[in-house]
Amino acid sequence: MMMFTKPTMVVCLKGAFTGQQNRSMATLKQIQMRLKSVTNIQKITQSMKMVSAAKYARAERELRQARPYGEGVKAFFEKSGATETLEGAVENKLIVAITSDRGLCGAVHTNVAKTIRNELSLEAPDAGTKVFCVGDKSRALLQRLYSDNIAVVANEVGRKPPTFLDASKVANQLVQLDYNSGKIIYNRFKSVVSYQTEEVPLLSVKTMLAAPKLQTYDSIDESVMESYQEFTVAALLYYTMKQSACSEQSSRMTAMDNASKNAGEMIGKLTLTFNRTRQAVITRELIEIISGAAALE
Amino acid sequence: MSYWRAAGLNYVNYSNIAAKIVRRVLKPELQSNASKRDETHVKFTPWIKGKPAKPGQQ
Amino acid sequence: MALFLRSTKLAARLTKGTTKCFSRNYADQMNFTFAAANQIFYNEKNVKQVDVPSFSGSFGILPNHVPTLAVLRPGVVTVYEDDGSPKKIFVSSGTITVNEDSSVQVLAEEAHPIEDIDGSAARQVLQEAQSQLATASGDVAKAEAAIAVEVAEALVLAAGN
Repeated sequence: MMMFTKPTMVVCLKGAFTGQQNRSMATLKQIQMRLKSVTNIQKITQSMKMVSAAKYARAERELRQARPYGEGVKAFFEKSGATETLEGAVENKLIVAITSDRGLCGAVHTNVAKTIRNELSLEAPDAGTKVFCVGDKSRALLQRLYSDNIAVVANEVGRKPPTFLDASKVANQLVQLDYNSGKIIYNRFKSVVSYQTEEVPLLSVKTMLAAPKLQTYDSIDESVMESYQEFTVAALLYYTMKQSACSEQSSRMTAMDNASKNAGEMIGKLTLTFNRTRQAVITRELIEIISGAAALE
Repeated sequence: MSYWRAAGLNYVNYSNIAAKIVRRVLKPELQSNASKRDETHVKFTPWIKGKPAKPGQQ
Repeated sequence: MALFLRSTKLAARLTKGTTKCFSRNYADQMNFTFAAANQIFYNEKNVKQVDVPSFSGSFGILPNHVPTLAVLRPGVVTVYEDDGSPKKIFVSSGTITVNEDSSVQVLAEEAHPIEDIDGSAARQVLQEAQSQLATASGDVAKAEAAIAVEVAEALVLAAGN
């Protein structure tokens, strides 16, 4: 009886004394589980990176074709001096946030939301600036503090590349909102590794008609002006949506690439820890057996 | 110009319809690309006083 | 001999910068951009003349045209390039902007060279649109059908040419 309990007592004492080693014996299984899950994660992030790379290639191609839409409109705004009239307007402002529904794409959505939050924080609470959220992510980021400012949320954005019809639908929704001046906050695509959060002005018919240089433009009747403005808003939205989509895909590609690399590093470290732990366990068992055998002599 | 405005359509509606028709008469080899431009998925939910109003509708 | 050398040097310099020289000598340049939502036809190119169909009537744009804004109606945009050859491109709708500095932007929702239009499909679509118009009820449906007829008629006309 005494002989029986002695080795077990020795083991227990040993276990109590070196609490760490006991823990690592229990965690060998945990390390294995962790290793397995991190390997899975690496596979997932790698495949997400491949998918994003393909989508990015297409988005970049389509963006190249859509560039004149934005550049042409911006050029008109500048050359007609229409943007200057915006400085005075404070009431009835509208901000359109171009994001999407899907995350895991780096800082694209948070940058847009941060810009809007900064702007809204500088305003009086009763200024009544409205936010049109294109994409669930902007809604999620703004609804905690500024849910009263949200006018409309558009979702089902981001799964497929944006079409002119999508932009048209958003433009039609904007028509129903009464605003004096507005701006679109989006991420302008600069290169695979960089994008920039920018804003582009949204002009209502009133501000366009008030543009200083507009008088030099040949007498244009109001119905033409109205149609021109409606199409221009849709064109601008199309351009910003295309830019944002491209920035998002490139950002997701980078984020998933980094995640895969990090996962790879973790796998390396975990494998080392696993091997060390395994060897420690074996050594400890040997010690126990040997010391147990020595004690019996 | 005015008949569609009188019916409540705006120029963007006009443009969308016109574009759809043009896409339908393209030669067959261009149809696959054209049909991609016919898709639209976005849905809207108006928000009133900090809460979404109706479930998403176009 | 020296004179000969000088003149050849001058000639070489002239021929090197010929295209630049010539475009600068053109007192009137028209920086022309013509894009559809999915395709760029001309991006800041110099062209001689552009004829556009608009709701304010069809008009031709030459360099130094008075600044104006207009809205496209379904029809053919004819671009006369620097070498004089006309290119015909059908547009569904969009905007025309002529700025003070003589730059012209035509942004169309859907635009295709008229060679890409299938004439028989156009005639069929016109028939369908006309029957739609006859059976349509309600202002909006009637207006939509009327727009379809208008576009289809323009397409048949363009394809027929």
